[in-house]
Amino acid sequence: MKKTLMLLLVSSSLFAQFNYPKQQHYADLAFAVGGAVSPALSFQKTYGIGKNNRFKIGGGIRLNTFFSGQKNYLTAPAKLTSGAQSIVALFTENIASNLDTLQVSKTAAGSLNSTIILQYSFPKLDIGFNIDAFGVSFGGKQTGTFLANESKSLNKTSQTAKPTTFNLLLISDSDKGSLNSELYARYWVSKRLAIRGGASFQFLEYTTDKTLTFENNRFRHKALLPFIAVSFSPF
Amino acid sequence: MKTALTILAFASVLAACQSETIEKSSTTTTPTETMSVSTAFDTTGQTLLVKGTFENAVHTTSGVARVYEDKNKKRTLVLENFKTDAGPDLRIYLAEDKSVTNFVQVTGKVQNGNSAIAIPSNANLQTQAYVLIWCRQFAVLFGAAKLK
Repeated sequence: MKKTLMLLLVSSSLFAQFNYPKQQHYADLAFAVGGAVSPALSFQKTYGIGKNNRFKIGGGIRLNTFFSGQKNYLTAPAKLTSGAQSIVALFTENIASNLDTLQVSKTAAGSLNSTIILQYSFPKLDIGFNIDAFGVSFGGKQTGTFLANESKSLNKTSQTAKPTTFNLLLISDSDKGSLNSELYARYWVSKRLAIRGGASFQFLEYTTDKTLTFENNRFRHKALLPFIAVSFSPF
Repeated sequence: MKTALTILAFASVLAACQSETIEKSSTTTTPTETMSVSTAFDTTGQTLLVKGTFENAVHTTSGVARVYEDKNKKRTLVLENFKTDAGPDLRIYLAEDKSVTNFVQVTGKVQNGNSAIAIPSNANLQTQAYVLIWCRQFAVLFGAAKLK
């Protein structure tokens, strides 16, 4: 017990003495895999808060890409998935009868989004979370099979869709478009170079050319992928 | 806590769907065509094509829907003793099923009681045989009548 307390005291005093930078700029290349391949390139800037700058907030811009074979995209609008909006949708059960599926044969989509960053730093180590806020998506038109048991004429029909153009973070199923978020740990190998790893949670959204069941044309795939990344701070 | 939030969310949605009064106007304009709505409908020279009775979906809806056709092949949707809960952005659609498949909007204004509404010429009653009372803002089906 005494040893543990001593260790804690020593480590906390060491952390306190460490000179955390007030600002950090870096470029970051992330590579997420797991049923899909999803490289992302970002430029980020964080600002230290408080006396010792250990807590940082920041922003940046991120270019996300996502490539995969067949994926299921489900009915996207929150008013259909749960009947609730924003954060309330997180705690509301889905309305199963409203959910239809678009089986997209291939996903090849990208998005360019602004990113919000929250980070806490230890010597040489950062723990953080980032999430896309708004931006645009791009990608080619894809074909998919629409599955809707309650709709005789549309069930198993072939549909075309393209990535939803505009992306906007509105929390949970209220989100529009394709957005990425990451929970990560970053280890600084040197003053300029760091490796980063964690989990990437992505929303990908396609809009069908035709309005399908329930007056809806937006369909979403949610992907949770592990990733590794390299951060470079040349500034 | 989660349950309370869920209840609150549902309550707010349902309250929103009931907060507005149903339109009393006798004329309306749809995004695609101008459709006249009248409360009195003279069936002289009209042929009854199909009819159906409204059933509840998420909300209480009742009444009878009939479709008449005149000599010029103009079709009219006649609602008799129609009653539905009020809601925002209520629409009347003709669709292939209750999942709003391949719908055509008949009118963007819904009124209780008796009314007659012109049916768009592009509606196909062979396939679009469901009259839906649809809350567009919240994507909620209030009620439906299958036309036979």
